[in-house]
Amino acid sequence: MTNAAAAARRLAPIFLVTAFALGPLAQTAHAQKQGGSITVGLEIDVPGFDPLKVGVYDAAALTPAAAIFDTLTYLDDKGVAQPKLAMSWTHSDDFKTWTFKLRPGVKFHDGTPFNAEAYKANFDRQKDPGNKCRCAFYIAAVNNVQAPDELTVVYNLNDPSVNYPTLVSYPNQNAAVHSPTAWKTKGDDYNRNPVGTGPYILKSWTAGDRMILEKNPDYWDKDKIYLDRIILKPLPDAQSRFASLQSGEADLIWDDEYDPDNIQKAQKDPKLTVHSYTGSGAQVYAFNTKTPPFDDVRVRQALVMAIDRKKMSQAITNGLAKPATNPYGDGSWVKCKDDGALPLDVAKAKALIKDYGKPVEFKMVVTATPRGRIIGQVLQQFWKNVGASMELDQVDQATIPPRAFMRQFQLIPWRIVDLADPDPQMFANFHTGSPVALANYSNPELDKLLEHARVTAEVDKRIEDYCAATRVINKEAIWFWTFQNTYFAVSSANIKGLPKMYSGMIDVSRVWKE
Amino acid sequence: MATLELSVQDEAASAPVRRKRKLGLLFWCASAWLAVVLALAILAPVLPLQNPTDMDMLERRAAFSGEHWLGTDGLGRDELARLIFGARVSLTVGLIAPMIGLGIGGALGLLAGYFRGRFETLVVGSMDVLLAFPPLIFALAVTAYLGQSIPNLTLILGVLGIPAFMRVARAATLTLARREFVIAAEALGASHARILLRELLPNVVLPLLAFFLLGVAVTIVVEGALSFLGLGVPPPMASWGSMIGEGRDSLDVAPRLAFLPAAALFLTVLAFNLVGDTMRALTDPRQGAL
Repeated sequence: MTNAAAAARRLAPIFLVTAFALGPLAQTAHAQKQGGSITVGLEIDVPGFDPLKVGVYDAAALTPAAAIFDTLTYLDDKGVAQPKLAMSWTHSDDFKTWTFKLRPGVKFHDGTPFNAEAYKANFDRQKDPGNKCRCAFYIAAVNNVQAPDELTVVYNLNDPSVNYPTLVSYPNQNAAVHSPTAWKTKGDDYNRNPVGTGPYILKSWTAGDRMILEKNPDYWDKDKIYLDRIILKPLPDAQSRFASLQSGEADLIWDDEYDPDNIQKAQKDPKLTVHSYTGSGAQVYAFNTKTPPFDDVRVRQALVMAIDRKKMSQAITNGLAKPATNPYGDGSWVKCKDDGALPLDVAKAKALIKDYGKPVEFKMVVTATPRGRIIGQVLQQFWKNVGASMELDQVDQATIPPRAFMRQFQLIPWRIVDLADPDPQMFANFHTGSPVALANYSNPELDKLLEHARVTAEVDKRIEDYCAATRVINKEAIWFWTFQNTYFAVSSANIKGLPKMYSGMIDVSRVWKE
Repeated sequence: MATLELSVQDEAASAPVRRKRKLGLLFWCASAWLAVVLALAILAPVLPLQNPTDMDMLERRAAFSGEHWLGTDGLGRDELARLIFGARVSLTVGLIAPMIGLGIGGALGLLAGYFRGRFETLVVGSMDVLLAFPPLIFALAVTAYLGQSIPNLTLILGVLGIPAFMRVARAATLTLARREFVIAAEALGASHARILLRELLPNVVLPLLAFFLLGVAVTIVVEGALSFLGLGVPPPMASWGSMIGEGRDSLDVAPRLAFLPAAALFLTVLAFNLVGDTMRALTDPRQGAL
């Protein structure tokens, strides 16, 4: 009796605490406050939204695009495609045809009805060779889109894709659905006057200063939209961006691991919340295996073995960047037990370079930014330690893709972006003959694995294929990976409901303020 | 009476000469600073310094210590070694680039001021074109095209300095060319070459040298600006400008990383200006008793 009573007394506070702790939690789940506005600090000014004009949406453009436009699907917390403008979808047995059933009764901001015809018009406009859209590169795998009836869209793909709905899940240059009436009537002005079906309508936009978005009163899913207004400001300098968050001028800012001091300061500050998400993909570098000294596998292996990723992360990002040994990352469903990564081994690397016999001297392309220079210098140091000498070739960010496509490099930085399925990028980056197979490398075994992975539906078998492909790539050291893609946003603590930052997209269209 | 008057005149005449000889404490401080910086820069490879590009990635932004006298920078490199090796870059570019300007601009100015006529119109016109071109844009374009290296940087800054030297040389030549000693030499039948080299050059070269020191100061600042923008010397080589640029990212964590090179740059430029100004005052032909 007494024992039981004592136990009860001991336990009572625990129960009480649990009850109190659960109370507010249960409440907040329903207490999304309506109204208010949010100011978001982005890294750069958005150049525009017309895919024909801008070609590609960068990370900064995704934030307003997520508010103005809808996509066929979106990714839930587990990374599974869920219905948005599409209500359901089916595929053919060979995964080359995908049929989407559209949501009825949706209208663009300008009153134009959203239907299969409008969707097809969007696709055809990007695909039309006469329009010379740079965005067409990213839909090269799609042969055509058909609109057999008002609410049915059929994708006909050139190659099988087992996970296509996840690839139209965020409003990039290809997946954002624009109003055909708007781009036809506005012509050149459409770039800065975008019209979509999304939860917010563009109200005003002063270049270099701010963009103001107002809530769309007729949105099909308006119960889940809380803020009245979104204000977006370009704040290129990391220090001043962080200062405007601290002063309350901004409620949420974009950030990255190259600004580690501020992120770590924010982590300690109870008034601020750091949001981060590690997606799939990685920061990667490609050797041009057709140019000496990289035509010799020993040199490539030696250089990869010389890189101490943990130290590098410490030096550049205070340890925030997560080392990568394969191109899939924490956010990917591809997890490898053995990815065949070469170990960090300075002695072995030195021996390999010595074995090669000739002096190892080469140039590495880096962006002419503080970020590019610092990464270049750290790699330079690692390679100097094993007897290889690297020179930095600083170029403008915009000249990296053309130089990559023309193979005018010895070593070039690249990025495998966060996509829900590895196939589009793995196939493009490593299959013989692809324009972005930057290493100029051909291996029938690798080709076979990639071809098999794209037509296989069983997840286990695909994982096996992709891990085997990575083992080949790591062993041959044609590319190497340094860090996973981790995205950061810092906000005031009262900003709630920010979804996972898939593909680095900060989607504030469904957040609320407490 | 007369003797008394004479002695007063003597005193009045000798006073300004003595004042001119006295160069002042500031001048000597500036010269001493320049001597120290120059000596350090020249002796850098033999001084017991750490390698300015070797990183200790786990010892980033370390404070002052026995091992690293001025601490380490954002990538764990010895700050003192980088400052001294940075001085080499700043001084190499800062001294050689104005020499290009001095050589080419000085010669053009001398010839233009002496021969006048169409040649002068052409030289002055083309220099005006060069002056009208925005210098920073020119520097950006050339580094983008030729690539980043110390010789390229020196060449660009040297070419940009030509018009200024040309103008100084021409102005000095114009005032001197009509002076008695030149006319006398002409009357004696001296050749153009002899007049230019023996009569004019020794007089023009003094203000040019004074201007050269000011040019050094300006060039060091411009080199710093270009390096700050990432268009100066290629990394991992240190230059004061690039050190300030790299230190800017950690201003609130380790402000010394930006302030130490900034202070070195400031003091050196100030010293060159002070010395240059004093020299100019000493050699100004308007005051000279030629």
